[in-house]
Amino acid sequence: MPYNVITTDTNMSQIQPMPNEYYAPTGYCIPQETVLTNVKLANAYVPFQNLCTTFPPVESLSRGTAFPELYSPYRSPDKPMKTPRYE
Amino acid sequence: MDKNRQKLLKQLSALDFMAVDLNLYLDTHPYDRDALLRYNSIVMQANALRSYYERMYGPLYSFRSTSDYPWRWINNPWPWEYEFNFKLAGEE
Amino acid sequence: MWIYEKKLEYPVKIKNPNPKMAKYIITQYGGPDGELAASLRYLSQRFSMVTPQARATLNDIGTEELAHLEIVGSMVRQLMDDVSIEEIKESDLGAYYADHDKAVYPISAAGNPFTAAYIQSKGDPVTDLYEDMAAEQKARSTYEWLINLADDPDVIEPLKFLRAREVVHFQRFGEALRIVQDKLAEKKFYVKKPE
Ligand SMILES: [Fe+2]
Repeated sequence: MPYNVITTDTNMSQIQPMPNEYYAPTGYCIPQETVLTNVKLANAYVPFQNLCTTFPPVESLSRGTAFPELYSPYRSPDKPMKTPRYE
Repeated sequence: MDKNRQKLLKQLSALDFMAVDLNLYLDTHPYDRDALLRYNSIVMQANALRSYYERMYGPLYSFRSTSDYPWRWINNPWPWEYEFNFKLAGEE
Repeated sequence: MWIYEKKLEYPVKIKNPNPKMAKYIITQYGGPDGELAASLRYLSQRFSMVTPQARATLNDIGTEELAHLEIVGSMVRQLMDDVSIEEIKESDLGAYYADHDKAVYPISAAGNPFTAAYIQSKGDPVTDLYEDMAAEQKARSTYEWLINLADDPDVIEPLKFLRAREVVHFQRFGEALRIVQDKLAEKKFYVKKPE
């Protein structure tokens, strides 16, 4: 598959359903594509995401995504910061 | 009793949400075996919880869920009502 | 076809009605960067999209946007629940009330009724995906302005959830665009034709 430059750790495919399966133990895993090749002018490129780990279900729902690398909360400039629940 | 329904609904909503997010990921990464395994496992867990919820509190799906007598689909509350929903924030 | 699931994607449980906030949030129901526009845009574009990945992405995100439409409608309804005529007159919801009582109707915050002119379905897969990525950014910004306008956590939490979804959708459309651009380059043709 040419689109997936980085592949996940293969030993992750053996995980059994366990309470903690959502935090899969990974070795070295980069959650996104890091090298873009054959780029052309007047084209836009978003790097591919690469799944390494996910939040547990309830936390995923609270954050609005299961993927830590896509979680980027908004900090309202007009509001005093409330303590975020998960940070 | 309603506390129980909301607790169950929270777990189910959380699993179903993971399925949504992993489904979208798989749409652009159809060859990611690990993501696919996670997706399948989440959907199986959600389905088990869903059958239990439906047995206790009535049908969740239009045209796909069976119902006890009398027809339970029309029962209140509906999802857009305050009483239907669970509180997600603050009690994790 | 679609099957209705009798629950929300994200819970809406707003204890304190706030007609002013309802008037702002309704823009994500029927406004220019709202969920109805998003859903119709993606679900219409999928018919002419190329590559299995991009088609599935439009189909599934278009479906999720319908769930978001329901979340926003639920918020508007709960924010207007049990509000007295006096409160409606004080908040500037009076004009809305004159036409719709406390029903949910697809309009923008400025009162413009929903129109298909908010969306495009161009037939060129690259053009359509760029439009979709822009749409996700516009929706994300709108949710940020709405978060700035809100101060009730019951309202802010679902807004934050919906905003986070736009970020994920942008990523998926970006990946679909990569796949489509590669596909078109490899075939050396730039005409839209579903294979
Ligand atoms: Fe979106």
